[in-house]
Amino acid sequence: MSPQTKTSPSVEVLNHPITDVPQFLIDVTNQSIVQTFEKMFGATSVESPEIESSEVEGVVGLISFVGDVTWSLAMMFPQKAAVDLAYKFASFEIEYESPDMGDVVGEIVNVLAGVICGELGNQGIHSQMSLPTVTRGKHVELLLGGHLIAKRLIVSVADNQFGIRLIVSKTTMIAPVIF
Amino acid sequence: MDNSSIIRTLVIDDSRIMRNIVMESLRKTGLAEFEFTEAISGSEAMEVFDADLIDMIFVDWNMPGMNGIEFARFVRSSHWANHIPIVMVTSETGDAKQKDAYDKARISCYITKPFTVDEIKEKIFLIIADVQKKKSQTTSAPIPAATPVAKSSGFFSKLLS
Repeated sequence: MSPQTKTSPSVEVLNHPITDVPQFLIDVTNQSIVQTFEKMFGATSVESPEIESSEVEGVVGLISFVGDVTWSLAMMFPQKAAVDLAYKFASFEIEYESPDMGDVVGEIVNVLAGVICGELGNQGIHSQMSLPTVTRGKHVELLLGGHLIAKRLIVSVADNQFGIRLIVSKTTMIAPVIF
Repeated sequence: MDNSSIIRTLVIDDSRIMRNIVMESLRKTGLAEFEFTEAISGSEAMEVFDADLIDMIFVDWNMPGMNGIEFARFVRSSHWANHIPIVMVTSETGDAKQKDAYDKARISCYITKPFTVDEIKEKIFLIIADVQKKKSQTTSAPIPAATPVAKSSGFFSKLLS
């Protein structure tokens, strides 16, 4: 990722609700995913699919950010991807049904969130991340209220694919202006 | 066995997986033989922490309850533990966060996740060397020999008088 010059935070007050997840969040998330996952797991690519799929049989890790912009990020791992990536992360086998699986997914989410926070901070956008929460199940579906909008990304790494959701409130009335 | 080569290390992280990764990575560095004590939180670390029995601390930042920064401040506020190196192992990558950790918590070293064995080795090898040097000086310092009483023949006479 190219180095960013630190800027003083500058926000633009919007006079209308937003209709899409802000592009700067998508860009920072994309770059952070590639940077983080290539280091941990190898070659990584990110796509923005048009077809929406709302549920997964697997593990979902969720983390939120507060600060200049309030938003959340969910990582949705199908069971195979969860097991494979957990093994690569921890360097030992982790059973899908074990509590350690929640631990690993939480850590992976935490690591990505830290990189995102750092990159946003380098652009003058202050944010603080929450502790991650992890859910596991057969038909795990993110239920987004009418006030929320989401952007879906598909990450391909180490012969696996998993989904990422960026979730923002429509009523976000400020947006950081990046120079 | 030369005890100065054994680094007694306190590893604090609410994630069992991360504690294992830190411990295994330290073993793989080959810099020393490590003896580990684990804690799942800053609060638990306060209960098990003994400055006489710990040579080095690895601590996560974001933990429920007392976080790593607060624990580091606790150690640094203790006159008897102030010398112990504290390594922050964290997902917080921002420059401002790192500056806070160094300035406000006076940590010795900052390692961001994810890290490789080579990265952790490069960051801590000087700290490890310093700890080992201090331990060897402490364990090998000779007990000063008793200074003999002057053997002048008049000494005991003067003493008795």
